[in-house]
Amino acid sequence: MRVSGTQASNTKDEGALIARIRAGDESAMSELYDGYSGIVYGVALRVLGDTTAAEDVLQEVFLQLWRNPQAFSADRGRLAPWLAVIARNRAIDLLRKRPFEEDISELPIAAKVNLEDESARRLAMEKVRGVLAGLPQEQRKSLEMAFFEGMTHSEIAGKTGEPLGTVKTRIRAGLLALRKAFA
Amino acid sequence: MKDHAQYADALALYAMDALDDRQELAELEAHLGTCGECRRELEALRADTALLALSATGPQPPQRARLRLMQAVGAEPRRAEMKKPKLVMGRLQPRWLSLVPMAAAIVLAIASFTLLREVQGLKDRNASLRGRIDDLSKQNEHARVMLELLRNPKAEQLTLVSTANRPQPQMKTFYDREKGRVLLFASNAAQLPDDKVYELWLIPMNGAAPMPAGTFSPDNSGGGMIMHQFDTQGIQAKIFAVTIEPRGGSQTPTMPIVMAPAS
Repeated sequence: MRVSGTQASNTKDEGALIARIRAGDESAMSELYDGYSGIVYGVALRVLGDTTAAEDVLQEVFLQLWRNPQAFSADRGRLAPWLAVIARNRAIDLLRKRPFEEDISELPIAAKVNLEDESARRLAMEKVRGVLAGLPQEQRKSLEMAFFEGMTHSEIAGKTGEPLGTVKTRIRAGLLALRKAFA
Repeated sequence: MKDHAQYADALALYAMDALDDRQELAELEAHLGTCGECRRELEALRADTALLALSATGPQPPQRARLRLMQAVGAEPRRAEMKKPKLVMGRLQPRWLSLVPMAAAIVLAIASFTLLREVQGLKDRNASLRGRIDDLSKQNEHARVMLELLRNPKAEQLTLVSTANRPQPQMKTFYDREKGRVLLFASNAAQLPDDKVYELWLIPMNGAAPMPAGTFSPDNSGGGMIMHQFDTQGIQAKIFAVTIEPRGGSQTPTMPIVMAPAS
């Protein structure tokens, strides 16, 4: 299964879309929303478990990008992973009742996997789910508690009864297993 | 001092904002400030978390979310990308060198004048945009309050009809007792002389004096609307009624009541 694509052409397309948004082209914003709203909404909904709150995060993330399109640099990452991470962080802020403080321009991501079009994302999603299903249950749970529930490693250790060091090692190993699957 | 490998596990937690040991956090951030290799690994770990996020994709947002976003985008102040001025490089011929200071002064004067005009233009535009934002905010607040009242299941609704034998005129009120707000919609209201208006009254249940609740003049088709905020909340209304009053409204109703609840 191949999910990676030609990085140069994809970053060029994303760069062109962002350039139009920087120029104030509302139709470009509409295209961006159609292409990427699913990933933003999906992760926000998973974190918050509430459709209204997930819609608020969706609105916030895209409006931030419209107001500050310079925040995304095609040279520093790809749009889909960048949006996914920002959506997750915004959703966790909301979950923990924290104000939105993070500067979205301070999130460089070295993403190598092409998630630009819907079919590539679907393939990648299946692959990720497969990797997660193959992880030991404790490891998958620790990873999900940190990422989707916004728990710190101490909180995870407290909840699972595992030593702090074990939790830390498990989480990193889980992320590396995902990376390896797309190498 | 720790090496990269010793920071590896903490870095994965840091990528998810899950590292809560303050000392470890401070050490790691200090190390990140000086270590390019670890910064690159942090960026790679963020990409790994984005893959994790993918496992949550599937549900699609409702259509209204798209509409809401595009309306918000449309309501944002227009902006155009700043254009960078082109830098032109050249070489001055020796015979013009003596004129350079004068030419520079002229260019500077013209540039200053142009800049001043641009600054003034930008100030004007800024003031205009601020005014527009204020207007939109007011409109938005007005619409929000109306919508809230219309959607409020506790709002008390009454349909007022003509007390005379003339069909068609109809007025509908929406009263939110807790917030002390009333909204009235009128249709087919009879036209009034220029010096008269329709005035809505809240007749309290406790027998207190009728309370004025706003006035309106019908448009050409007999339509009209009132949205009124009472100074006091929680007043139980016996009925709402409408009278004809001098333009500007009255503090006590002038009989007769021209519109009252149907039942």
